[in-house]
Amino acid sequence: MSKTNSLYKILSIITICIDVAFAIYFAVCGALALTNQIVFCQTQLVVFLVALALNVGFLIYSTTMLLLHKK
Amino acid sequence: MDKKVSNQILQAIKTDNLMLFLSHIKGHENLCFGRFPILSVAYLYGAKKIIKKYRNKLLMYKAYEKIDEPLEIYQKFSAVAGRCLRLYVADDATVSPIEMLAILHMDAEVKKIFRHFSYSKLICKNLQTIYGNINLQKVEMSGSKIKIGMRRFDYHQKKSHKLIALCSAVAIVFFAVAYFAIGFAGGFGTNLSYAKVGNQNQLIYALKNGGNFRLTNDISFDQEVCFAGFSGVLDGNNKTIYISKFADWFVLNNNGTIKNLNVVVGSIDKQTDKSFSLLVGTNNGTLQNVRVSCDSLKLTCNKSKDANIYVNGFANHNNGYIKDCTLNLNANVVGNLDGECFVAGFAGTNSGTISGCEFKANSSLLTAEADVCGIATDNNLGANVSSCKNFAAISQSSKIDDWSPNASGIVQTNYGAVTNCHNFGDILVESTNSKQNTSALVFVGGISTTNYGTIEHCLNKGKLSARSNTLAIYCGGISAYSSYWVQNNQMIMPILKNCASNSKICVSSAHKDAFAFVGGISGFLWGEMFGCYSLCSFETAYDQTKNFVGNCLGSSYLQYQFFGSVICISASNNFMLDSEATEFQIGALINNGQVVANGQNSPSGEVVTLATEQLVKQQEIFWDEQN
Repeated sequence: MSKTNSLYKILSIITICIDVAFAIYFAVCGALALTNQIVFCQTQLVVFLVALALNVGFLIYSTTMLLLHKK
Repeated sequence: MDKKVSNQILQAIKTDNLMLFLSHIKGHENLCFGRFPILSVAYLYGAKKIIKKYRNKLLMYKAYEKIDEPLEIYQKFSAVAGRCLRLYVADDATVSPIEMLAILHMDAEVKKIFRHFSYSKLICKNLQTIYGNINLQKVEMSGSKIKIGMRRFDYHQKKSHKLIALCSAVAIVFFAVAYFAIGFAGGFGTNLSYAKVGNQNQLIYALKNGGNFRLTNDISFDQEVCFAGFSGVLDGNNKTIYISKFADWFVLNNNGTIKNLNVVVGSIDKQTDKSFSLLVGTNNGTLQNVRVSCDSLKLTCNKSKDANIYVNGFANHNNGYIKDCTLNLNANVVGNLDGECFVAGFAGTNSGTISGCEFKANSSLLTAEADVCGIATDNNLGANVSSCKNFAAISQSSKIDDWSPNASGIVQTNYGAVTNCHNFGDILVESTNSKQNTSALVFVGGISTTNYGTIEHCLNKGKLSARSNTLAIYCGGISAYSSYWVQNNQMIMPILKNCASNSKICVSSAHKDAFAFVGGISGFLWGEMFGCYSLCSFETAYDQTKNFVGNCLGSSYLQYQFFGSVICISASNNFMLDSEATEFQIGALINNGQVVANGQNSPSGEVVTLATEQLVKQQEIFWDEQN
């Protein structure tokens, strides 16, 4: 596999890792919030927005790349 | 050519050894290993240092000194060239550096080099073939420019990108669903969706960190709590916070909004050397629809560094809004300090607005050596107290020398506006001070003790009582003492407008020099009075020696002028009920601290005395408020 292929592979692994980390965070956070152990508030909103922004970024990047390299 | 030298050059390229390359290249720059010129081999092996140093020089060569092609170069080339290999099967074929770059997919480098050098038709044709037919990339050449389209992804690249896109899309959907599900269940903590607070830890978090919160449960604090500051919104959702052990404040500074909340404080018996409030120290925000109750507050205010100590149910200092709040409080406060102690139901100093608040029945504020009133101690210039009601019994006892005890139903000192306020609580001041020739005075007022501002459409129905040993007394149904003050060299007159008093007024003093100035509207007035009425009855009768009782005013000021003298009142349309205790509308006229004239009536009918309550009620100015 070429260097660029390795890079794409690493990028996809990073994406998965980040998403898994956020998923765990939201699962724990949600459980604590729903059992009245923490306040679901601005902090979680910021984390959510960061997670969303990263994933939207990944989505836009990968879709654009797929389209550009198809032409 | 010496095979040893060519081997050394190849070795230098393979290891990107610049020194070795330098020591052997001289005179052999146009060397070509079979089909591969030196620069092509350098690109093939990724010899960056050599390329950087020699690229421009090596690109100049179009004709090459060919030697036998090493097998290892061919093997490496065939591994990367793929279908391009067929372009170079002829023995005389040459893989020029730019073609090598194209085969290696170094498109940016191809564009760069193509701009600076011209190439033969064969090379251009090969480039067309490499890009157009083999790499399936669009390629256009015009003059010194080459446009190369994006390279198609191979299987792995396509797979990686599809995986990223899929993961991202799934994650976006998952996070959105999870976030909104948790948010709707627990609240987002925003203006539109308050975070739900259901237990003590969450409430502590909320009050420490600020934000937008809504209580979902009643919450109890067993330990002392005092939060430094709150900003945001705490919607109590009509739930209750129980505080069994109380510090000096619940929240020291409120810069946000606390609303729809019940606060129940357990019994308090403590000594303090600083101000005390059941809810907040300083309110710069809004307290709305908050109900505070405390069955028993026993407080002894000791000597403090601060000049004044304020004891209040809602805020020591209000710079914001206190709206539609209620207070149930039974307090017993002893002022035992060098400075002064002030007790009021809702606020110590008010520089904002207090409106629609009610000090509930069965409440009481009993103090000793501490001035006391129902709503706010100082209503500052520009501040408002409106539509407030006091049902609490208010009293102060005093025995120390030179202390002027004050008690009133709504505010103590008013420079601002008090409108639509009603007092239904009984008010009592009892002074046992035995010092004679003192400047201290007793002030008792149904609405305000000392008024320099405007009191409009206010009603007193609480019984007013003042008992004194040696101190003079000012007592009035609306204000004890209303006088002008000077601002920017201008006299600002107090205004009593459309006010009413309907209560019993009981005043007595023991010492012969302890004068009492008692009026249905005010104990003293130097100012304006319009559309007021009094249905008050007086326990103490007018006499010419020390009890100066007027059915309207206890006293006013007589100003001497060059053409005579005038009473310092601007008045019209006032109606008073006749009383057996006095035949006068004004008990006495004062000049320079001396009584200079006994009982007076208004000279031009500004105040009218009527024989029966019925007649007063028939006047257009009459209004009443049932509690």
